[in-house]
Amino acid sequence: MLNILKSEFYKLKKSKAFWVCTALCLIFGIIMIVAMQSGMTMAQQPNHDPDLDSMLELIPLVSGTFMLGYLISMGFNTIFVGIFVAVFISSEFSYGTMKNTLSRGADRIKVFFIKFLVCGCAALIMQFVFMITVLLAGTIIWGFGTATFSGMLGMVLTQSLLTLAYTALFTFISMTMRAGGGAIAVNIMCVTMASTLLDAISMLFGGKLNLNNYWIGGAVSKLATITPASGDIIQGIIIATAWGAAAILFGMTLFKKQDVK
Amino acid sequence: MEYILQTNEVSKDFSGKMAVDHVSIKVNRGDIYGFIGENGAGKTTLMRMVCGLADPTGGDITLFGNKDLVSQRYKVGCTIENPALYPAMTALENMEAQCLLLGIKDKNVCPKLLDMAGIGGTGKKKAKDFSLGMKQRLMIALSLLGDPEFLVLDEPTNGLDPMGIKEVRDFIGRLNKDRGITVLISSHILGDLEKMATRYGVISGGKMVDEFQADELSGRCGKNLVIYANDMRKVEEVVGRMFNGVQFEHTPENSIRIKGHVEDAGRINKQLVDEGVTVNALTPEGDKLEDYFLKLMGGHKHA
Repeated sequence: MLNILKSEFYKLKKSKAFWVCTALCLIFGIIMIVAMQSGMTMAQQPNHDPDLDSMLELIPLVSGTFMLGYLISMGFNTIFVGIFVAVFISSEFSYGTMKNTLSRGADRIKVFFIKFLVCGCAALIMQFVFMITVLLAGTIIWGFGTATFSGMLGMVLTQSLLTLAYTALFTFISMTMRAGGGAIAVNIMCVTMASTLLDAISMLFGGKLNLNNYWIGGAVSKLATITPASGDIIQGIIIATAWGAAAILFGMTLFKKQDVK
Repeated sequence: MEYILQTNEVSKDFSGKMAVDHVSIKVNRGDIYGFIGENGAGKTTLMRMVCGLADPTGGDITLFGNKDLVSQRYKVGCTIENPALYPAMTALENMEAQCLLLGIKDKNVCPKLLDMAGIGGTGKKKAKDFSLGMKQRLMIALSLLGDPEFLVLDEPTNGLDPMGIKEVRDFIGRLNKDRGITVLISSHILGDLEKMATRYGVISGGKMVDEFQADELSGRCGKNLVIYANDMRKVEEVVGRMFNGVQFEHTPENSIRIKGHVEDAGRINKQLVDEGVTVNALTPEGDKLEDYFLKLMGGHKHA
């Protein structure tokens, strides 16, 4: 197992997709902060575009820590994680290199789990790059804001757990679909459209049960704050664990049965 | 006899279509087993099952006398279908990734194997910029990592020029002779396979058609006698008198091919000379593996 892990980390180090997506997290973090600052400045001008009115509501709250939570809830970094995982995993099938691993007696369950572990590490690195970039850039422009160490740590840990849950889901999707384009599309849809879809389905049932509350994206939004409610934290941990474990178990079972071309 | 690979009635069913239908083969230690079949015959599917890339739907496979295949596969090197490489990595980096997977600590192994495969000087050139021949060689080098005892090579000479084909053939021969590596190899170039294989298996439509030793090939192939002489009519007359019902065939090279009768060459020569025919040459001619394969396939299909 250790050998597979070493080999996967070697591939990660050599993966262009990883470095490009990490760089995009950094660049996107800076661009978003600059864009927000520019939007707020324009919103304060007389005769501004009415679309910018929502920016006015943010002005009294804005700080580095506030922006961190605000941008995390939008899931930008998760989109890059989804793209990276899809490219990293599906390329093993499109190049046929998965054959080199499996034909030498590597256990398929271990191969799947290690893919998840390595993608998880990459996802956390990308998330931290995004978080640090947003926090630093936001602090430079608006100041750090008021945040306790425990509040910050809580947000980072819960968001990390939710990112790992997303990564498990992306790993499952990519290992099952095996086609780069399709896996990228589905992974992005999981981040951007799943919440909307679940909201719509909830409305179909009269809005009595909000399905989005049980989805990773819903938990990401709720926990993208430095002062989360303890109930939300517990719910977030349960959601992340349940989705992550289900994706890994289903993925392992499917991968064990599937032929590799 | 020690069998490296034994398949017992192995089958693979793809949604009702039998790609491999109750195939049993035996590969002895030290064999170069030439696996022959037309496109879609089931060669690659069987090799994929041996290498753990597909599960049989029936039958069983034994590697090194052991049915726990996962535990034995570290002793097997494979190249199945197209070369499977990381295109953004160099040859050495591709080798290093595989070294880590196999737990090989000695990093000197990689350059040595690359040299052996004839791609030692590729330096920083990425695998995506390699020719198909270079990729094939790199795949063979990769499959040799971890000192495998058994190599499964699916059309390893695909895309190689005649020089490259000869080099790879010689390389496989050396691995077999010097290192005692057993090889299961499929190739569409039957003439090439004929130069190295010690045993053959012929598969068609997913079913095993024949399995034989290389030295049995001549017995299975038809033998003819080709006579080059100054008077072909006289040759026909003399030979016709000597052997009742003998079959002739005129060749484009102005000679006569007699079906069989290779063992009578001396007698035929003497008789022809005695009757005043100048015999320029009298050559035994046998069917090649390709001819035998085409006969087995009914003469219509291609390998």
